[in-house]
Amino acid sequence: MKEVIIGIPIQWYIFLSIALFCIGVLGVLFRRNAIVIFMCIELMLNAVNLLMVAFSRYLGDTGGQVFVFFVMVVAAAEVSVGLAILMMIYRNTKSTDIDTLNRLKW
Amino acid sequence: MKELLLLSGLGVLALVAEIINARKLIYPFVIFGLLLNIGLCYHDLGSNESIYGMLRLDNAALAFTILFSVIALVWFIMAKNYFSDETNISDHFSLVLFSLVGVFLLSSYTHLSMLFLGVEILSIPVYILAGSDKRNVYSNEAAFKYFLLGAFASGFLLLGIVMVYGGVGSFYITQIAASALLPYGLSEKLVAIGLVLILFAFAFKMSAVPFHFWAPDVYTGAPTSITAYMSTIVKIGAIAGFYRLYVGVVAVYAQYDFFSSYLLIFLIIALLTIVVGNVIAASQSNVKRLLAYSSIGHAGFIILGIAMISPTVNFTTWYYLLAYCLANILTFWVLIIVSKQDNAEDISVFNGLVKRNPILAGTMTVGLLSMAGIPPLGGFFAKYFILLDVIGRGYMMIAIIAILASLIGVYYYFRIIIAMFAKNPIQTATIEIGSFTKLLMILVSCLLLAIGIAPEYVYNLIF
Repeated sequence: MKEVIIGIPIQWYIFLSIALFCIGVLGVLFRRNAIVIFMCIELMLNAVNLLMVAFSRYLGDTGGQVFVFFVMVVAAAEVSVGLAILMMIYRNTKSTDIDTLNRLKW
Repeated sequence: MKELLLLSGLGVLALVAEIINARKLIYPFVIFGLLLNIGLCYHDLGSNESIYGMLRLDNAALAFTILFSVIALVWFIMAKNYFSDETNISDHFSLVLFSLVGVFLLSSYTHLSMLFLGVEILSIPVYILAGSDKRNVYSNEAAFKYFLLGAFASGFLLLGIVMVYGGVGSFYITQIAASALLPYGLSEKLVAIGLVLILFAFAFKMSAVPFHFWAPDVYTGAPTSITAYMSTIVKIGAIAGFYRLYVGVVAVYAQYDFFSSYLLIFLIIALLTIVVGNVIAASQSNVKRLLAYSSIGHAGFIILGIAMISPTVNFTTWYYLLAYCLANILTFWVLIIVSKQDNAEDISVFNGLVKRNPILAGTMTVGLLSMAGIPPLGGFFAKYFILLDVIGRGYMMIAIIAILASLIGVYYYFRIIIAMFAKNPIQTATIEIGSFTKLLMILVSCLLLAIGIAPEYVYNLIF
């Protein structure tokens, strides 16, 4: 199993990560439910984490793997703040649909 | 190291004060702490201290730290009412102080992980502060928009960082800059895409066109004190981070053929930002939204200054930020007092302000004239130094467009000034302000005038 993983060229990891990242971006742009959008942002960050670990292994440098921990902590903090903001909005508008948030324009 | 510990310590202290029931002590402690921070930075100038290879307190970093400490000090004085209105004061204090730690990291990082942490430590508290008016749907919406787009942008920032890492094999700024010389195949493209992604994420944080759409909405919806915070301190953080990356890495890469288009990209972004910010601001009637668009225009000027990479870029950026932030805080200060009185934010609330309170009208005029770039106020010389660099590099057309766009700025700033002095007030009741506030307003106005009269003195003091 280990040989198989090492045998995968780095390009494949790049393609996979970019594909995951793009799915996340498209989700943020086109989904209308705030919770799904949060999930898509997590997907973007985790796609980057995957690429970070792959590069770290490829370059033989542990820095990338340590960075992943920073990203995980920050992502957790960010989503907890985001959910708190969403709770606040839900109390006022009784909805998690982001189309209701259209009061501020131009 | 001392500065970092001091700022974080103040944040923790503000939280602890809630537990030991000493809320009244937070405010004097914070003011004292910020003064101490300015003193420490001033003392450390030239020491070039390195903190575990992650941060480097070179002169640029310390100059930015002094700048944001001064502005934070003025902001805390300005926002005293914001803190006395709120029930859970210590949370707000610590959120503001922790975001200052983020600005500190952004102005001194030498490792990309500190860049990422700095951006996040700066932004996450501000997401909460933008929504701190919990029952107001506008504030909620502002917080949500800011959060969503901020998290989206930090995703791109991370993707950029990981691509640079993949191409160079290191997170250190110096090593990334050094590897510009080496020939690469795939990794050259990775670095090119990575740097562009990081710089676009910064453009978002600085609210540069075409990534500015969040700024007017968030600035309008957030409580006015927090809007003043976002358009000054958060902007200083983003610009300090951008400055470090641009001067440390991008300027080195831009000397090679493969990366030579970077300068062009940022000239275009800077020009677009100046033009779009000023043109849209001219059509606004809500003063908060007008100031938001004008702050976009000012960000464009600063990006233009940084993109020139002249020998004095450190000073021109610093000086522009100082003049802009002081003027901005003055205008927001008056706006908070006036809009609280009349419960509206239209330009018409300023009608005949000079009859209702001459000090407020005078302060507002000084702030607006400085932002419009009228001599001898600070804003004029800030613009002058940057345009001098631009003309010095031979970009005559860009300088002309920038000047024309800032003439539009003169138009909409004077709309407010004319409303204050020439029109009749809608409400005739005078606005009462405390004598201490009056004194501080006059003091900050004089400071703005002083840095305009003697810019070379400011230069000798810090650089």
